[in-house]
Amino acid sequence: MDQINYQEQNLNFKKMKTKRVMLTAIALMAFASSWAFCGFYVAKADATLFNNKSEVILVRDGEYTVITMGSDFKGDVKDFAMVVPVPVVLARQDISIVDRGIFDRLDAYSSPRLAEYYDYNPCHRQYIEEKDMAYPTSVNMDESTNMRVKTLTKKEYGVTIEAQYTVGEYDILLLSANESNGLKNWLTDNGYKIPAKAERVLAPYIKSNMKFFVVKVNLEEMKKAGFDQLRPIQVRFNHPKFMLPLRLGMANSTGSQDMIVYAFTRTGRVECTNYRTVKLPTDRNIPLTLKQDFGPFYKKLFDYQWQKEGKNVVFLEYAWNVTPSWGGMKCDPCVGPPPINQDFTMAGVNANWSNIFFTRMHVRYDEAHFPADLQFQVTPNAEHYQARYVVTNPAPIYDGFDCAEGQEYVFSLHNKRKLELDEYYALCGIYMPGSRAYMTEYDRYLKTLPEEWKEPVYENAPEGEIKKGDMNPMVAIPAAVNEVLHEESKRESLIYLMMLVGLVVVVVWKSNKMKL
Amino acid sequence: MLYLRTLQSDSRYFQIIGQSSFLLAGIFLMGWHVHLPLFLWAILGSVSFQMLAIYFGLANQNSLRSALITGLGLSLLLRVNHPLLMVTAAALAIGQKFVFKYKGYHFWNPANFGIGLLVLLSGDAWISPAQWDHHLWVVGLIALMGFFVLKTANRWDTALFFGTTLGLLCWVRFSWYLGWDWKVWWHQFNMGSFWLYTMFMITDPMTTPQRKWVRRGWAVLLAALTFYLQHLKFIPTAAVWSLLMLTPLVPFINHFFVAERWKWIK
Repeated sequence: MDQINYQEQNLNFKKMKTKRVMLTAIALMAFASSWAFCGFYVAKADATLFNNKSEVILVRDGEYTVITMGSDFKGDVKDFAMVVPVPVVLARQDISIVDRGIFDRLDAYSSPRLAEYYDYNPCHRQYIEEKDMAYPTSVNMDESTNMRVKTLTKKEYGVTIEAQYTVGEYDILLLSANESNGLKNWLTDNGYKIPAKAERVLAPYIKSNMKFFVVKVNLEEMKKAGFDQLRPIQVRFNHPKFMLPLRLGMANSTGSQDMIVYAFTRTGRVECTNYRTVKLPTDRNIPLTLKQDFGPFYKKLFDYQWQKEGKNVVFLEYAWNVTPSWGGMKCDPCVGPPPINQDFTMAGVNANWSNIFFTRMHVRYDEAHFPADLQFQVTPNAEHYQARYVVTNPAPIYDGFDCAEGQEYVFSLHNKRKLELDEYYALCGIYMPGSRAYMTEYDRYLKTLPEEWKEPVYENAPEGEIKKGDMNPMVAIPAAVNEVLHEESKRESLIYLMMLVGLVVVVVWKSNKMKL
Repeated sequence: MLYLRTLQSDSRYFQIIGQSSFLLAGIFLMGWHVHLPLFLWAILGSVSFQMLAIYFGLANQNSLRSALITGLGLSLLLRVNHPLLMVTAAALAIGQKFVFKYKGYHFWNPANFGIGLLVLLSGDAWISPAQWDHHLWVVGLIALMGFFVLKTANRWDTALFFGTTLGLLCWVRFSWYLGWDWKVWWHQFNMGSFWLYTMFMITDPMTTPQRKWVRRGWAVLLAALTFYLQHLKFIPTAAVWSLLMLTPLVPFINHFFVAERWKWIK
């Protein structure tokens, strides 16, 4: 224990001028971030795709929890500060700094993906191929550590500094408090400005015996380390609570915020226990024109699905067994390399896990729809899932489509494209601009155009407002039934459903009549 | 009117209608169609094992209704990685009724036993407490159906005492002690699985005490245990475990507090 050093440190802390403080549970860095899409789509995806995005990596094994909070804070680093409620006082060795690259790699690997298929021209022999995406390269950096453990102090605010560390470029305090006013005053007097709304939510955390993990940037250390970007902070602890506190973060934001949660477990998927976890529609054929605009398309899709589900759900974007020694396919198609041992170590996965399951969730939260913090559980559900969309390139024209099969192909292409447009409407809740041109692009190769195709389907269909999601049973039930009946992939379900209903009826009937 | 009288003759009819409606709502609104084969296995399994019992003279014909309810209960609450596990759950659920018996009372609600044991032992089964959305109308529907069942079964008091106690305890903890907004409290209850559980599982007349005030006290105890496990021990599926722990007391309670034995058919 270096007392002198500690006092200096404490003095520095007090001298700090008032900073603009953002409070968040996870990472309050509400700034634009890039949404890395696979291969050549990277450049096409809009950098501001999801504003207000934060990222978190969770590792959970029994009660052992590792949380890595990614920051894409874009402002002046001296303004950076965050307050995170944690269930226990963390020891120095339970806090570390990891390389930002881990988030980029996990994001690249698990992003919603676009698969590309090619038709062949039946009048010209060729093979169908599926094109895989290029792997982006990854960069690794070493963790830098030079820390000093501090002793505790009791203040008249009723705030106890349980521990104080410098980890990498951050000054970290672990506070416990008796009451919220004291904590608020302490934070204010020490240069952290608390939004008025946040005060109200401090008290419940104090009373549930949570500690406060308070972080700000140590400019000297940052200069020494030579980083210009804030690196993610990782904490490890043992506690039965498996949750992410969101409420503090909502205090300084009026709108909705996006959070991507990457989770590693030994058994299977992580799911939310107090909000419904919903799979995004996947394996849908979408119009080829979206190949260049996959990012914006996915954003529209997400917006609509979020509204449709009532704005209070957690979306599943990816779930896969990523055990390095497991021989199966890690993705289809892969949009980024699957995580490797070094990534697992960095995320906090214990090296002797024999099985690693990865889950990616996307939650868009706001004050009105998420009154309580997110709580999770680990399930043994090891079913793979990926948000995957498919574009199909039409057959190369060569000498046209004059043969009989060629004519048939062009005819089916028109119908297929109509289905793709319907799919677009179902996914995004709006008509795709340029629909008719897309659908009729190859019609000119047809020798005779069917009468009904002359009808102006989709003509002048405006790119309307996104229709509002409707959970009114009078509307939702007929719509859902209609979807089940008309979607080919669900017809099998219909047979099962009829069997189920039949079974129930027969059993009820037999429970009266049958004599064995 | 004849049909209505048939329905009223046995509260299990309402329970079957209620649980089937929720299963259908899940299939159409919550994307549960992917689990349809599992539902079939659960119901087929439960009914087949019960038929075996009927064949060997262990139960009477109308107990098929109970087996159907067990199958529906498994479908609504249990999720597994393999259909065989669903059949195992059904076997456990139905089998225990005939194995663990005291003075003609079985110790556990069949579905609760099947779910609990499978989740504990197999490592390939789980419960998703949040699979029902926070949509009030779903809650209302469940509550209404439950009301019909309980009114016919004359067991509305179990649900009422359980719900009220848990609601009160949660209010004391969340709103009064911790100081959260009332919405945090409401969020706990505006949840389909909570209501489904309260209305259909804990109120099983076969596994609740027969004497009126004893039963009410037991419901309060159950609520207290559920609260403790869920909010102080952070187990999200607490209701299942507390019921599993407390129902075995019921045959002994019934031994000391004798009352008229419950009969399904009126």
